Amino acid sequence: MIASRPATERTAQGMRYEASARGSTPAPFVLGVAGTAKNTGKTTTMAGIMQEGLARGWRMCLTSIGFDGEELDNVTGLPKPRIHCEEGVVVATASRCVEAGTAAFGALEDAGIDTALGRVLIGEVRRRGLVVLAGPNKTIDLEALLGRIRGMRATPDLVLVDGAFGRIAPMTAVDAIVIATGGSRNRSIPALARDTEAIVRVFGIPSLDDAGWAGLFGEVRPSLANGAGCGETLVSYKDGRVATAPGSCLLGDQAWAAGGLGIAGIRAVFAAGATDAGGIRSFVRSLQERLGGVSLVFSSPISLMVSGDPVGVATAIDWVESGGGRVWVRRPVPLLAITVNPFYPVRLSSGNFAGRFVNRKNLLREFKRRLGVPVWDVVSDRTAGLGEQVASVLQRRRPVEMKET
Amino acid sequence: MIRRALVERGHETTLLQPDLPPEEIVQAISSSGCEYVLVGRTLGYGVADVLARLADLADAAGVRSKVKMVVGGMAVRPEIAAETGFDAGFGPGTSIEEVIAYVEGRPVETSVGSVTRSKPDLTSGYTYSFKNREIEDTIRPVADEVVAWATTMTSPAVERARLRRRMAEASRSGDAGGTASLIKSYVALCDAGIAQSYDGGAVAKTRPITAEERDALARRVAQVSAQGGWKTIRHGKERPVVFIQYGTGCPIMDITHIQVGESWGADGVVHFDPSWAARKEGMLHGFLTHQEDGSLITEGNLNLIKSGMTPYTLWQVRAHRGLNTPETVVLAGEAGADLTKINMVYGSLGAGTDPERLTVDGVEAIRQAVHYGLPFDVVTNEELCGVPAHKAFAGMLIVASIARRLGGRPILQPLFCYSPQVMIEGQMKDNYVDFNAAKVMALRSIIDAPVWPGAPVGFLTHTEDRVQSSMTTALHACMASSMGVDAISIASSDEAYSGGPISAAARVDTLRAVREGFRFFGQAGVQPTPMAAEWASQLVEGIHDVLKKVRDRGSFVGALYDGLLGTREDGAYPGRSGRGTVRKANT
Repeated sequence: MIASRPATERTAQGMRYEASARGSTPAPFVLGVAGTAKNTGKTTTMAGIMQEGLARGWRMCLTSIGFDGEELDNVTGLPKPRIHCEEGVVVATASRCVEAGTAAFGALEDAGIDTALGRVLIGEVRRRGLVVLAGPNKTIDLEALLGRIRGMRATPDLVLVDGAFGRIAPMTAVDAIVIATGGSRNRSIPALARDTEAIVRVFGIPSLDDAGWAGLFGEVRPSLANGAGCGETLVSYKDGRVATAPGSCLLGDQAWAAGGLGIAGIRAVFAAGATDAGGIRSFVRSLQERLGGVSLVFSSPISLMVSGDPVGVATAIDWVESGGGRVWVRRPVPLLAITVNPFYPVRLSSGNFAGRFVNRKNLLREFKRRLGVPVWDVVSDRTAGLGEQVASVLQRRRPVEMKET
Repeated sequence: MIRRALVERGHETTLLQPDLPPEEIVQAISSSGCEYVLVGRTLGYGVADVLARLADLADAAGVRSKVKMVVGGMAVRPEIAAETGFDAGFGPGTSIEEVIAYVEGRPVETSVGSVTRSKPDLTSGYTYSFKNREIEDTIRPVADEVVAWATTMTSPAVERARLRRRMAEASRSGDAGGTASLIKSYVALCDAGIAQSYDGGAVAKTRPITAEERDALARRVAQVSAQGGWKTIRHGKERPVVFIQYGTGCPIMDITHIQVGESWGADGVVHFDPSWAARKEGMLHGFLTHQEDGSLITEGNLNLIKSGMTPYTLWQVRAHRGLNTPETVVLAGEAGADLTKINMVYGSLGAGTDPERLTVDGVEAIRQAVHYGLPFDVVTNEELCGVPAHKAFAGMLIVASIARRLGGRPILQPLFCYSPQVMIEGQMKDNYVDFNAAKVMALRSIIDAPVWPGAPVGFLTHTEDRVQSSMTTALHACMASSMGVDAISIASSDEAYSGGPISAAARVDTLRAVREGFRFFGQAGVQPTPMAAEWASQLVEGIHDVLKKVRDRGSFVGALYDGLLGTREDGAYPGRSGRGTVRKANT
C-alpha cells in the first residue's frame, strides 16, 4: 500500500548531503563490502579488513547498511559472525544497537539519521568488546553519515560499510567495493563463477569523464547524486539536440517509449536510475537495430547491479556492444576484490536451517581461473592479502599520512 | 484494515494488488508521488530477499529518499526492517494506531497494550466469618488451645525473630552500638556455620555479590523501568491475580525473571529459598548468590530484589516450613514484602520440621505478620506427600483460625493439581475440573475467606513438553478464574522438568498461555459436572470429622504427632528438625 499525508500535514524533506562535499581534506577512504546474497561472508570480510587496518595503525570506522554483529541470523536463526572492536575504532550504529554489544563507547554524537532501530549514533570504542551494527540503510542517509564522518576532528583513515542481503544501492556512496559471494548465492560452482564473472564485467564498464560527457550531451549537467528523483532520461541526437524522456529507470521488458521522442539520429542516452537486463533489451529493441555508434550511459555500475541479475545485465551489455553501441558509467565504483564463502544454508523439513558447504578448493580454482580480480576466501585464508590490497589503495591516495608498519 | 484507518484519517491511499514484482512497485511509487509505502508480508527466507531487493530498487531508482518504507507482518521485527532497507518494521501485536501514528509522524505509542497497574489487597472485602457453624464450633477450642499453649513457650527462632526486629529498629534509629550488641546475642542463637559468617567466614555454595555487580544491576533496573509497557494478563476481570515463582539462587537473575514476569503480566512474585537454609538455626546476612536452586533470604538479598521490582508487584516471601519461620516474616516485613506464607501443618508433616517447634514458631510468625501487616497464605502442600485433601484442609483451617484469633489475615491455599492422593482415589480419572472445583466449593461453604490456589496450579499435570505444560497451566488458571478465586500461582513451563536453571522463555510461554486462556474465556466459564458438588460435600464432612478428632485429642501438637492431620501411611512424617528446642518462656 502506498499513502500520502494530507497536504496540510506535509513536512519538508530532510537536508541532503551534497556530493560537492566529497574530497574535503583529509578524506577517509570509504570501502563498501557488498554481498550477492545473505551468508556470503560480508561481515567476516569487513572484520578481516578491520583487523588488517588495526595492525597497520589505521584509524578505523565501521557502519552497516543492514544489521550485523548479532548472535543469530534474523531470518535463518543460524549463528552469525560477531564483530569484535578494539579501542579507538569509530562506530556508527543505531541507538538500540549500542546497548546490545559489550563494547563501551565514549561520547556519542547523534548523526541525525533515523532508522528502524533508533537514531544513528557515532562514537569511539573506549573499551574493547562486541558491537552490533545497524547504520543508515539508504543512499541519502549513508551519504549524510559519510559527510559527518568527513567533518570529524580526527577523521578515520578507512571507513568500512557492511552490506545486507544482496542489497547494493547505498554503495553508490563508497569509494571502492569488495563483493562477497559464495554458495549461498548459488550452489553450482560453474554457475556461481559465471555470475561473478558478470559482476566483474559490470564493474569494469568504462567511465565517461567530463570531456566525454560534454561530447555526448553538451552543456547539460546531469544530477548524479542518487536520490535526485526518478526524473528523466537524457537523449541526445547527432544534430546536437538534447531532449528528455520521463523516468530515469530502464526496468522490465516493456518497450522503451522515450516519451514519444524520435529514435532517428540518437547519439546517446543517459539513464541515471535502476536498470535491469530487460530494460536494456527493451531499449535496444526500441532502436530498431539502429544501435551503431549509440552510447548508453548509466550513473554507476551499482545502478546495473540492483536488479540482482548480473549475468542478464552483462549479456545485455554484450548485446549492445556487439551491435555497435557503447556502454559507459558516469561514476565508476572500483571493484577491489572478490571474497568467496563456500557456506550455504539449507532449510530442513523441520523448518530449521542448517549449514552446508560447496567444494572450497574447486570454487577457488574456478574463480581464479575465470576472474581478473583478486579472489580471497576470508574464512579459511589469512586476510593479509586483502589487507595489502586496501593498503596499496590508501597509500596511493594519501602516501604521506600512512602509518604502515 | 490499515488502509481503511488511513482513509478515515484523511490520507490518500492506493492499494496495490498482491504479489507485484518489486519493479512494478517502484514504478507505482514513482508515478504516484506517495510519501509512505506499507508492505505487508509473512516473512520467509526468500521473502526477506525480495523485500531487500524492493528497497534497493527504490533506492537506485531515486525514489527511496522521498518515501518512508514500512514492512509489517508475522515475524517482522525492527531488526528485519533495518536489515532489508526499510524505515520501520511492525510485527505481531502491532495496533493499527501504532502504524497510523508512524505515518503521521507522531511518536509511536509504545505503551499500547500496557496497563496502569495497582497493587490489590487479596484479603479486602472478606469477613472471615464461618458459614458452617458446626465447623466453627469444633475449630474454636483447637485454636484457643494452640494460642494459649504457644504463648507460654519459646524457641531459638522466636528469640531470634524478636532480636531481628530490635536490630532493625536500632539500625533505623542509628544506634550502632545497640545493633552490634544485638547481633552478638543473635549469633549466639545460630548454628556454628551461620554464626561464623557474621565473623567474615565463607559460606559453602555461596559467594558475595560485589558492589560493582549491584551498581550494574541498578543501572539495568533503571533502564528496564524506564521502558514501562507492562501487559495485563487478565481479560475483563480483576481476579485472579497471577503470581510467578522465582528462586534461581542468584538475586540478580531473580530480578531479571521478575522483570520478565512483570513485562508479560504477572501481578506478583513468590520468593523460593533453598531447602537447606530452612534446616539451619539462624539466617545468613549480606548480598549472597547461591550456586543451586533457591535464593537465600538475607536482609541484603531481599532489599536488592525489592529494588528490582515495580511498586505495583505483589511480593511474597515464604516462611512456612523451617527453623527460621518467624524471623523470615520479620525480614520480609522489614524489606517491604506484601505477603508471606505460614503453615505449621505442612511444615511439620511435609517439610521436616518438628511439630512442637513449628507450632511455637508459627504462632510467633503470625504475630510478626500481624505487626507488619502481612497477609499470608496457608498452603496445603502436604497433599503432595499423599495426605488426603480433607485432612490437609482441616490443618489449613486450624491455622487460619489461629491467625484470626491473633488478628491475622490468612488466605486459603488449596492445592490445585493432580495430587498423589487423587491419583490413588481416582477423583481425576475423568477430568481435572471436578475435584479442584469441589475444593473451592467446600472451602467457600465453610468460611468467607480469600482463596489462592497453587502452588503452582496444574503441578503434576506438567510434563517435560513445554507446550503441554503451558497448556495445562493455562487450563487450570482458567478453571480457577471461572471459580472466582482471588489469586493463583503458576509455574514456568520448564519448572517441574527443567533439570537446571529455569529459562525466561519458558516463563513467558506460561504467562502468554494463561493470558490467551483468559482471553478465550473472558466472562464465560468452566462448568463442573454434578460430581463436584458431591465431592465438595464429602470434603466438608471429612474436614469436620478430622477437626473433631483434633479437638477431642486436646492438643494440636499431639494431633500432629499422632497422625490425625496425616498419617505415616498417608506419607506424612512428623519432622525432626528442631526437636527438643522448645522451652517455657520467661513470663
